[in-house]
Amino acid sequence: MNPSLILGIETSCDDTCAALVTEQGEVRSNVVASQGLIHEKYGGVVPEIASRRHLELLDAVMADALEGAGATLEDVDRIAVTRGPGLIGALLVGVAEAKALAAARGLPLTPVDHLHGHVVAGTLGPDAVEAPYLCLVASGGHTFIARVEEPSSYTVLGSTLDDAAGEAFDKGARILGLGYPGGPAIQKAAENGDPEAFDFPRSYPGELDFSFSGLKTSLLYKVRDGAGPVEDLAASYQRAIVDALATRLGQAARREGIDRLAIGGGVAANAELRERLEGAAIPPFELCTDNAAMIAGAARFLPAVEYPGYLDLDASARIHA
Amino acid sequence: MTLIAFDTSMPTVTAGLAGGGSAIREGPAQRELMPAVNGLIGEAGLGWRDVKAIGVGVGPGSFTSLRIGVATARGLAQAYGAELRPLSSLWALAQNIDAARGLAVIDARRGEVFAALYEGGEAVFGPWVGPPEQLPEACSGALAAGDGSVRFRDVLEGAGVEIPPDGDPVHRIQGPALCALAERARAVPAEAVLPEYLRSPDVG
Repeated sequence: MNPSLILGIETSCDDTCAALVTEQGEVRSNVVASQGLIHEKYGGVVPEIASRRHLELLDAVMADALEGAGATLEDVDRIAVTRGPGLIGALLVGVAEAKALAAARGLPLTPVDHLHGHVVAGTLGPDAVEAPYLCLVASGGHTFIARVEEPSSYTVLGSTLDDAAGEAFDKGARILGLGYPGGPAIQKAAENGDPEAFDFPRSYPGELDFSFSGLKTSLLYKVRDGAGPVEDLAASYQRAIVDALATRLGQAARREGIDRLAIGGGVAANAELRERLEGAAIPPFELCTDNAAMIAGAARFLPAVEYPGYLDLDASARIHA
Repeated sequence: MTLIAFDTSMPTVTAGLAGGGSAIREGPAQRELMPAVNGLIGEAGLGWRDVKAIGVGVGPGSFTSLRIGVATARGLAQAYGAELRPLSSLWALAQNIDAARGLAVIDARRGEVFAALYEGGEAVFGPWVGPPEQLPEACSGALAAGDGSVRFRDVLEGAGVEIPPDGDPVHRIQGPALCALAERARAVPAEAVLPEYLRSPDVG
């Protein structure tokens, strides 16, 4: 008998995603249609454009995910969809389509917290991390450290008080004229730069919180004062972000007495961060950035709402759990 | 052939089952649309497998709400391969107007309206978006319908447009009329069913 299949749908920001994952955590397909280039010229995600593109792309992305898994709708036992947080108009495209498809086929539906998806992305695949563990999630919209006792939930130990780490990369890249998205742009420029050329501030507010807004301001002043070259600025700026993230995760591990670590979110793709956190469970790149496999993956640990209990399900821009 | 149709262009959701029931629900499409359409199918003793065609209002109207309508239609259609038939929300609204010249007006926010003027079953102006003050003189003497005509009653009446009282059902798209349009409409591939936005995305 075939294992139960979960169809995951994720449209919270600018990537249109669908995936098929088994109840055992095997990723059968994981399709992402990135809108990055469309938003590049605006220097950030334009919500209305993102929402329009989701609607244009979602059917094809879902069809690709089914085909990639060698499955049809007949094989799908449950649908999982990102309910939030994210751009409300973008989220609603995925939620509306997921509800309609699930209802018409009489399938159960599991609404998933996007951040929960990032936190448990490391539990997918052959090298799955086992709870309890700590997870650093760093993306364009979020930066926090979570403690995972059981993968069905998580506790936030500390989070950013202002900009997210990915946002710091984006804003830094814009200041340096390096383009969007900022993470890959800064990493590339930094390859030929000296990470110790400039001493950017590291901020450690509270016990385990983050702050990146002072860093961005410091970069702005240096550029305004004519500092350079841009490679050194990029390398030093990246070092400051990675330092803050790695230091905080280390402090959290000591305080909590947990040495199993994982990372998630788009910033987990950063090479310097991966190097610094050697030993941590770092999911493959495609499970770190926004994707639907992590949504279907999180749904494995969550209750399903049986048809028709979810017909009036709404998306939420700012939910937590 | 079992056909359902729905429209989410205005702050009310309209749904109808051809030859069956219809519903108009107040509230956001994400909360009201699926309960409405699912209710119609259930009350008729049907299942989604029986539905062969789905008519969906593609606007113009509230962007988010239109997307919910279209995404819902696509999700339902995908389940068992039902065909999709996009419908103009302004033309659906104009079905309510019993006059030689009908002006369908949907509130477009920001002090503007989505509008179209129909004569003898054809749009002689629009679909258009703009301030109600800038509707052409040709609209004078027309009978209007829609939440936009209610909101801008003073401006439109000043321009010679006739508007039924605020609470009149003429201002809402009606399920049976929507179904009648859908029955005559052409099916198109799912990827071609997209909202008629009429406005470029706000990139500011």
